[in-house]
Amino acid sequence: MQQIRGVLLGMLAMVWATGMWAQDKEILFEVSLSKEKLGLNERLRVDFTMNRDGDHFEAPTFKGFKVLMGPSQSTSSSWINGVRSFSRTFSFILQPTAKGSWTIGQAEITIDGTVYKTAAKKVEVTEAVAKPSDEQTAQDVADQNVRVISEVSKTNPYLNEGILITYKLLVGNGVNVTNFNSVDAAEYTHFWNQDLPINAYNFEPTTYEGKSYQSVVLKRVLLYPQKTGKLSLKPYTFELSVDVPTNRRDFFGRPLYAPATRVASTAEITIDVKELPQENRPASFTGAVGSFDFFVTPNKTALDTGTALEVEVRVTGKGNLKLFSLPELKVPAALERYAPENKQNINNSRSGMEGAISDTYTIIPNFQGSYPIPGLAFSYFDPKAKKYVTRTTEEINIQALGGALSGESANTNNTQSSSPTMRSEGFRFIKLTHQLAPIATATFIEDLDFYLIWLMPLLLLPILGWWIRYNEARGNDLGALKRKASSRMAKKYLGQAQKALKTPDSFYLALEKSMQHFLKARLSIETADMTHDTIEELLMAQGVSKEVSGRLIELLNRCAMARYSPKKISDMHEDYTAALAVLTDLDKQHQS
Amino acid sequence: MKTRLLILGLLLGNYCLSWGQTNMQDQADAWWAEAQKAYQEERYADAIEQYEKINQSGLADEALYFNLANAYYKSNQVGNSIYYYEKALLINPKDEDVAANLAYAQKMTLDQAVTPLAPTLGTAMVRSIVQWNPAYLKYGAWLGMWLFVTFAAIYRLGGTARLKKWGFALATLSAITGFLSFSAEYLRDHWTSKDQPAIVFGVVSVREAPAVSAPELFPLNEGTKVQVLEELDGWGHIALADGTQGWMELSGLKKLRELPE
Repeated sequence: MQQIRGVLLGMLAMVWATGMWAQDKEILFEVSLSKEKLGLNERLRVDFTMNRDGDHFEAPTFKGFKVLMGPSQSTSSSWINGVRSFSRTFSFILQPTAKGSWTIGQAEITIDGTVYKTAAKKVEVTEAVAKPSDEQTAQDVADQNVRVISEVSKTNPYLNEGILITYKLLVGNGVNVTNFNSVDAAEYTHFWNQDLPINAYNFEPTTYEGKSYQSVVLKRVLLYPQKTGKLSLKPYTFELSVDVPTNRRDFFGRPLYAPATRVASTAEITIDVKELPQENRPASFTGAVGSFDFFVTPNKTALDTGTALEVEVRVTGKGNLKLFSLPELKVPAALERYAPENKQNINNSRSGMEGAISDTYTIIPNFQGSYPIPGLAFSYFDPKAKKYVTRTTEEINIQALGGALSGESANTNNTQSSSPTMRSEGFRFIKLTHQLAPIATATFIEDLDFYLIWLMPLLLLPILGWWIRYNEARGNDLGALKRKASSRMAKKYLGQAQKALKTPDSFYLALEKSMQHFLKARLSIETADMTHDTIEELLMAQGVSKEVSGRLIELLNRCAMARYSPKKISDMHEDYTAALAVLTDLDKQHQS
Repeated sequence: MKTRLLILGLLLGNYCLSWGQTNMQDQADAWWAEAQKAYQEERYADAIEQYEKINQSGLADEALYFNLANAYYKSNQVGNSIYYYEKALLINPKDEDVAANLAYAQKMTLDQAVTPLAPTLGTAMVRSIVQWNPAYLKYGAWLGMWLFVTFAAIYRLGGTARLKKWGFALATLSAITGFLSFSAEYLRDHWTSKDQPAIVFGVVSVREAPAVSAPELFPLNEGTKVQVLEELDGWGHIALADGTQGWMELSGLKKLRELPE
């Protein structure tokens, strides 16, 4: 007995507890309108819903409306997983009576002794519409509940900065989309575009313009703007096959669906493409936008002439990989460079193109030597950092060893070469001796020293002339000098003769020599030419009288005779005075 | 008295100068030996350093330029290498070693070799005049003048008719030699100032006009030889060997006749 009582008490406590829990749930009393804006010829449905049973429901006065039907009451109550849910709805169908903005007033209900009120709602009644929504066909429902929108990841990108455009299908509750086709594909003028394939269509709940939808991505396209300024993306039009639920139900109570076709277009989008900054733009910039790495790698650096090596110019990273050119590899003229092989390994993803592009050059050195391949510079614009980045590579040095003198000679070797083996003309070694000297640079044209030495001899010419003239003035000519010397000798010997008056031999010798020198000076003749006849002749020519010349000849004869026959001292005195007289006479007559 | 002091001063200055020069020569010989050794041991950077020291000191010859160019070639400095080979060729255009190694260096340049214009008779003559050594022309002018005066004196004072005849002929010949040497030097100087070969360093743009904004005609790479025709505000009007002309910044080239700084 005690036990039964205990069980009953427990059960009662449980029931009470559940009741209490149900009682604890928040009490809701709400109003919902089928639409907030309607045409004059349309109908409005107003539902007042409560989640607890109440009493004394009082409907508001529907000013501006005429009640066509109502209040009709519907109640639902269920137990799901031990949770009780309850709902009671009072519905009215209203017909607007006039245009304008009307208010659906507050409804009242008393629940557990408390009075609850709904919020007042505004309804706008407009002009009569062509097709009242109440008479909606399946097509109308499809048109209202199926929309296509486009979303752009960025509306003001830089030139060549990748953007993503996503086309989404929004489906209102209850409508099924069975198929879609693109009718009018958007043309992406001034954009480089790449379609991203959609692998699976997954529905996600979203809210768009206040209404909730199930959304699915139909199409994703990567766009790289190729022109600056405002560019518009034309609408994309889809044709969609939809199933719309009707009010009719099948045997099992499920709604019947009616097929419809909806043609939906996206709105036109305007993209404002920014120009890349002009300032600090590197010379090596060729239009790459994104973020990249840059490599130049040879597969070998030492090889024989005539064999090939490969140099790969490679850019990896994220950005407009297909839309710029790789920097061209420059090689010394002696290296044969072939057109590069272009390779692309690019993945397109929602964040843009990503991967690597490369140019592989085949290079053949035809001559022995060492050839530097200069480093390359690659620049790109980083739209995140909003600045240019330049990446440079190191110089590569290629050593071509041995082999033929030139490519041509290597070829001719195969055909016919009877000539002795061609020896390669090697790189010459340094010179071992030197003759270092100050660099002769300046010309002597502006050198004063040069002119001094050069023109000095010309100054010497007048000096020479003056010297010659001086000599001429002094002694007429060379003959005069001789004559002067002879007359000096004549006087000298005459002086000797005077001293030797006591010794006849030396006296006459001196006297003869004196006279001979005198004649030499007077007549400019040599001793060898002195004959009496010539003396007489020459003296005559100089205007000397016959008497004087006769005395001279006589005196000369006596001098000659005195050498063979002795003479007296008195004769000697006589001859000396005669000689003096003759010589003075000769001088006188010559001068006159 | 004053002139005597002047002469004394000149002699003293000359002596100091020659003493300084011999000192410099000894120093240059030491550098040369060091550089040769470095080159042989393939320490090309050291060799360049020593050769450059000689070059900076103002002493030079064809061998120095050739060896320096070789060292630059071995260290892959195309521009400097070609520059000094060309300098060696300015001194002796017929050196086969220089020509052979210059061909090697030119293969390192990025520009394709251009076919030079065939020299006209005028340019060939100018080129040969430019090659003459001014020192010989100077001595030629001096000797001609002194001999002229000597023979003129012989003609004037000559006793016999034969002596006079020879004196007159030789005096005329000497006078002609003297004046020809002088005018050859005048021409040489004139044409040398017009002949301004230069080597391009780095990569430069040849433009239509001497302005950065002027359209680019073509780029030139290091090691290319150009002729500077005119200069204007740091820009040079240049011509390539094939006659192509344009303007480029003078900072991008080094003139062959320029002295080391």
